[in-house]
Amino acid sequence: MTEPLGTAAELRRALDAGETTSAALVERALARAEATAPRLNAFVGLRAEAARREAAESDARRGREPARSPLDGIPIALKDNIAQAGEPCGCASRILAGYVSPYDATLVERLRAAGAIVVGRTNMDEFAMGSSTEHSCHGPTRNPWDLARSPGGSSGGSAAAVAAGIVPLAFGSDTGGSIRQPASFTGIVGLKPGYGRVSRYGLVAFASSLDQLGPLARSAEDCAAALDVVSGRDPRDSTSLPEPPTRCREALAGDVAGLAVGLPREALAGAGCDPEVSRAVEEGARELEKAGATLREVSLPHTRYAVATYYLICTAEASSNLARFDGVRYGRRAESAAGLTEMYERSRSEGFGREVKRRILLGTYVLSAGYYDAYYRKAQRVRALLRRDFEEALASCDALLLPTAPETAFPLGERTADPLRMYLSDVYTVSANLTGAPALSLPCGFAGGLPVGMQLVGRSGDEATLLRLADAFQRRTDYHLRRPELPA
Amino acid sequence: MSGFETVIGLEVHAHLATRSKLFCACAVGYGDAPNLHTCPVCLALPGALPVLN
Repeated sequence: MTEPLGTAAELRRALDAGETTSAALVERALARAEATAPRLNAFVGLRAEAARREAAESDARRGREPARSPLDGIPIALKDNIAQAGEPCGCASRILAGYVSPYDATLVERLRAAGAIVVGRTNMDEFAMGSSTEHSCHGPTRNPWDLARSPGGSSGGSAAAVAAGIVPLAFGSDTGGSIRQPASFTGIVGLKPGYGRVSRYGLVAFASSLDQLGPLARSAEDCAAALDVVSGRDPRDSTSLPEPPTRCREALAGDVAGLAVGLPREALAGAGCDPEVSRAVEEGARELEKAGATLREVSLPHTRYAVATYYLICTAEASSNLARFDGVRYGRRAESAAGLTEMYERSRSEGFGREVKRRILLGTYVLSAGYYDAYYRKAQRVRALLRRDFEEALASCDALLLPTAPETAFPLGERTADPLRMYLSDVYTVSANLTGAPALSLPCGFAGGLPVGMQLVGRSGDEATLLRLADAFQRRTDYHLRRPELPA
Repeated sequence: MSGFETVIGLEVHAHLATRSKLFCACAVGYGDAPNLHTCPVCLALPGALPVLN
C-alpha cells in the first residue's frame, strides 16, 4: 500500500521545493483510498478523473505563478452533505439516490479558487444525524485505530480518511459535535468554527441554527490554513458574518504566555466520563500551563441541561428542514403509488433510515400545537442561559478546556439500538453549537491504545486563540504525529 | 358551543407586482415556459438557502 500522506503544510513544502507534484499526491491519495476501502469504508465516491485533471492544472501553474493558497495542489475530501457541481450529494441517504448537484457550495467554490483538489466524498451518518457513522445507507465507516470500533460521527468518513493518511485535510459539518467527536475518536484535530464564520450555502441543512462547516486535519496549522481559505462573508447565506476571511495561520505564534484557560468544574468532575479520558485531559491542561497559559476553574451550571435542550432544538429544526425531501423534484421516488399523498408517504418511508425518521417524528411532536411552549420555547430559554454561562466563564478566560467526548471510540454496533446512550456521547460538544461558540478538538493522549481528544471552546469570533493554543500544544507533544497501523 | 371562542383567520394569496422572486433573484414571468425562471434556491435543492431578495 502507498505510504500515508503528511500534513498539508509538509506537502506544501515538498511541492514548493520541487520534491513532488500535485499529480503524484493525488495518485497516492486515490491509491490509498482504494486500498483501504474494504476495511475503512471512509469514502462513498471518488472523483479520480476530475482530480487528476485539476492536479495537472495545479502542476502547470507552479513555477509560473505563486501558489494560490497553502492548499494549492493538495488533495482533500468532503463530507457527502456538501454540494459539488456535477457530483452526487447523497447525505448517505437512500432518499437522495441518483441526485447529482448542479451547483457548488460556497465552501467548494472557495476551495477550488484556492487550488485545493477534492479527491472524493466521505461517509457520514444519514443527514448528519448520529455519533458513529453507522446510520449510513453505505454501511458503517471503521476506525483506523481499531477496525471493530466506530470512528465517531457524523463526519466519521472525513475523520477516518485523515487519520488513515489518505488525505491531509477533509471537511465535515458539526451540528452537535459531528466534527469534534470523530476527530477525538481518530486522534486528529477537528475545528467547528463559530456560527456564521463559514458560509452554509450548499451544506444540506440538518438544524439551521446549529450547523457549521469546518476542517479536520492532523495539525492545528492545517486547520488554520483551511479556515482562512473558506471563511468570510457570503451574501447567499444570510447568517454568514459580515467579516473578511480569517487570518488565523499567521496568528500561530507558538507561545501562549498570558492566555488564561478555564476548566469547567462540571465537565472535569463529570460523572459518566471515562476516568482515563479525564486524566488525559487534565494532563493536557498541565501541558498548556507549562507552555505559559494560566489555568483557572470556572463553572457552567446549565450545561447539565445541554443534551436535552439540544435534542429538542435539533429535532424540531430537522423536521422542518427535511420536509423538502418529498420525491417530487429530485432523489428517490416511490414507484406505483396510487396518488400524490401516497407517493409522498411511500417515498419518505422507503427513503429515510430509522434514525432520521425518529428525529423527524420527535421534531414534529415538539413543534406541534399545544407542545411548542413546553418544549421548543423552553429549550430556547435554556439556550439563552447556556449562552450567559459561557459569556461569564469567558469573561475571565480566553478559552475553556474540557473533554471532547466522555469516552474513547466505542465498538461498532454497541449503541445502534440504544439512541439515548448514543446521544450522551455528545454531552460535551452540543453546548458550543447551542451558544454558537467556536470549538476544536485535538489529540491529548491515549487510553487503552485509543486516541483521546480534548476540547477548547472560545469566545465568539475568536477561532484564532483556539488554534494558537492547539498549535502551541502540538509543538510540545507528538500525539498528533502517531499513526494507526493499518493491517495490509 | 358556550365553551368555544370563535376565531376567524384569512389566508390571502396575492401576486406581488415585482420583477423578481421573494427569496432568490430569479425573474418572475407569469405565462412563460415552465422551469425557465429557476435556480437551486427556488427549486429547494439540497443545500440551497433562501435569502430575502
